Amino acid sequence: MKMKIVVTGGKGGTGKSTIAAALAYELSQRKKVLLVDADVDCPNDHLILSVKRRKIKDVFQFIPKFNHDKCTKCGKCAEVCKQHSIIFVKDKYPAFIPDTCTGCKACLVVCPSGAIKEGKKKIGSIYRGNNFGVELISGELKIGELASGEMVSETRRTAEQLESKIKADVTIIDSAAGIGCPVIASITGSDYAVAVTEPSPSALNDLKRVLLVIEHFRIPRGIVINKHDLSKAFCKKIEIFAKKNKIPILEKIPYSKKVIESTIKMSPINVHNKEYGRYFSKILKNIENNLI
Amino acid sequence: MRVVISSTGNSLESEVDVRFGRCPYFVFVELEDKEIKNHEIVENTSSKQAGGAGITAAEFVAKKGVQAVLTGNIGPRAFSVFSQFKIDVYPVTGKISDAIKAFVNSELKKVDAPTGPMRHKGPF
Repeated sequence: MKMKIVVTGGKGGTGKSTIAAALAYELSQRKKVLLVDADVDCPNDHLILSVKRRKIKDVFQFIPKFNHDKCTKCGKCAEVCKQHSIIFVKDKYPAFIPDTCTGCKACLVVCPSGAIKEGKKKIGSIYRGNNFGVELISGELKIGELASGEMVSETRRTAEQLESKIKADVTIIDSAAGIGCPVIASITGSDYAVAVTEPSPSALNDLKRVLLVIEHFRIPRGIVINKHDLSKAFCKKIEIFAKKNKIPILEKIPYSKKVIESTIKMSPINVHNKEYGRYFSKILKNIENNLI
Repeated sequence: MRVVISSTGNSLESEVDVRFGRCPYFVFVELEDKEIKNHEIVENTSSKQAGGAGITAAEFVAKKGVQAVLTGNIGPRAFSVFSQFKIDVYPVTGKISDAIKAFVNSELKKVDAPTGPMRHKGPF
């Protein structure tokens, strides 16, 4: 069975990437695994997996290309531009500022004289690499660009092509923090969502928000409480919340300096600390049980 | 011809504001035979915008039909709007009235690239 698991959680720093990389490594022992780094603003799964990425493609976005010979200076393009990227002043050709354009194409649709054609601008690049038996696809948004959701979608499209080429059994999508466009683009179309949290009020608050997003897509989900022993009392709060809402706790992982040490050594925690394998095996087993 | 100057205050004796998009006032002057025929001082409402102040301010002054812009620094987006509209930008400092004098006496050299902070390379 081909499966897509998205690792998300809301709050930053809870351990999404650490857990996504460890899950990928654990699975790679018996299956073909593709890890997708969908944190296109600050991708770093390649640093957790010691992968030297190579660029496989650039990603482009629509921008209008103006043909002044056909332009009648009507100003309709500027009127519909929600991004305020097109500026119109009477009797002048419209001015266009590419960096704020998100490629909605409203100007192209509304132009009555065919003076706008499809142009493009580069918004990022997609990289590939592999290590520890894990195949990695990593999307990286160009600094200052706004279309992070589109960048995630394109990274996932590229990953899907590779999935069938390498016959991957499981794809793990490592989402960004938050609940915005790039996170929505990471969650949609997944078979299972793993929400990684930690025992703190801000983590629980953000967890609730991301669970609502997951709920919207009607995707089965479970919670991993990372560093659970940092506050036993607050961990209990999360467990009560999960029970009340019938959301399974897939695993509780204790805090350990070993995790930080392995991050600095650029390898997933379970590569050199075999005793950690059981946490990730348990998460995978619980996902499987949850899906039956 | 009509010219606009970014200003820190609401008089011709105020100092030029080094910022274009976020200056508090715009001084519009109508020039005829090197003399100020009349002037209008308008509050720059885009200065309070969270983002894109340069674009909005450029749109505002362009719509007023100016042929030249006098300012301290100009950011890349506002500069791009002016260059696409073929409106010249001139760097000035000091008093508004002195800046206008320098302009009418053709003592200024127009800028051919943005001079604001976004032009600079980062630290690494």
